[in-house]
Amino acid sequence: MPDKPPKARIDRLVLNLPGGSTEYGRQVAMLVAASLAAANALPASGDLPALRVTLSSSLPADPATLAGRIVAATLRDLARTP
Amino acid sequence: MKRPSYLQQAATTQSRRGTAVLSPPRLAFPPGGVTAEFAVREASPPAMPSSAASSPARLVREPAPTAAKAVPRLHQATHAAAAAMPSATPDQASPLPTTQRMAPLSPPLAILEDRPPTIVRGLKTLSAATTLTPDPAVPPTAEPLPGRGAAPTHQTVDMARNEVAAAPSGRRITSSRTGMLVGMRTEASETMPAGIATTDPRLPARLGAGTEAQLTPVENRPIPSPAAFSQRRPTKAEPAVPTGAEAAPSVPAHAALPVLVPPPPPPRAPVAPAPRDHTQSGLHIGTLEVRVTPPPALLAAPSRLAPRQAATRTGGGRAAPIARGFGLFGLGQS
Repeated sequence: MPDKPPKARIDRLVLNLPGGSTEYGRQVAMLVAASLAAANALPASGDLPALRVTLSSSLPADPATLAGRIVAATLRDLARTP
Repeated sequence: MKRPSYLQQAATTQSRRGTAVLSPPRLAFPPGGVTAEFAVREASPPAMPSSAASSPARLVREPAPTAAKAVPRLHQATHAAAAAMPSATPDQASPLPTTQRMAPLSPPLAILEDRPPTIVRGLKTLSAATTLTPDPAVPPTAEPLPGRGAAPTHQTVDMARNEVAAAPSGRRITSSRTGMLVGMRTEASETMPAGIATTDPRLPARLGAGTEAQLTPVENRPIPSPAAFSQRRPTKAEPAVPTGAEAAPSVPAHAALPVLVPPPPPPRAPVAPAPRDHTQSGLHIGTLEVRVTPPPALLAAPSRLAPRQAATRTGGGRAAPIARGFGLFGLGQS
């Protein structure tokens, strides 16, 4: 959808994955961005300078599983923010 | 019965004809002059015939005790001179027209400054209480007037004095009349060409040391200062006399000042909207930080095992010490 303006924009994404590799972290970041763009639960408007999400889990072998968990936690925090 | 004098007849005749008598041309007031100075140049006394010259009018050189005495004495002198005149009637004495005959009676006047109220005040006093004596330092300058005696002088002075007395208090006496009176008064003193300043305190100095003049203003009205004179506005009773300087185009008091209007600010160029404006409609997250921590169960498992192992190793040995000779190995070995 290049004609439509982006629904959400994230300037910087920081992933802290202890025990993971760089390639593992890159795959997880790409999956998180795509999942947020396709999510329907994002707020229509808002300006958040920073958003921190803490996830306590072991590193799964599949990066998509970790990305799913990260997106769910982010939408949950966005729903809390006023 | 007293016969009308030469000047009275001439004045009456000319007044009936509508011609001004003894009225020198009016001098315009100097525009900016405020100094009270009224100087009259007086000609030398008229030439007397032989009989009159032999008995000139008496000069009063001693100071006059009072003004009332000084004036009759002056009149006596002029009467004596008039009696010595050969001309009995003015018409027989001079066949010239009256105007021409009266012209010498108005001496050349040099009015430096003229303020009518001041002059009138000075004139009243001058005619009543002034005794003029000639100044020997000043020589006579004018030529003697032929066919003219000193007799009518005092009569003219009396006539002018009556006119001044009959004038209302607010009336102005023209400077010409004033000049004439002063001139005639000086002429009555017979030989004194003098400059007279009517209200000038420097009058004694001008007339000389021997002159005694008591010039006291009748009305002790203070003379306005030059500044007040220039700033004072004429009232209805005292209309302003437009002179050359006053008739100049006046500048309006409330001149319209130029209004300074600041220039309008330059139109601002349209500012391009910031890119954030586009995102106002959507969601913008500056930094999304995700921290994944390992679960605590995995961290607590090795810690649980370690203290158990340590307790069995350390505490078990100390709690039930085995006696030497009865060890595990000893029991089993033994």
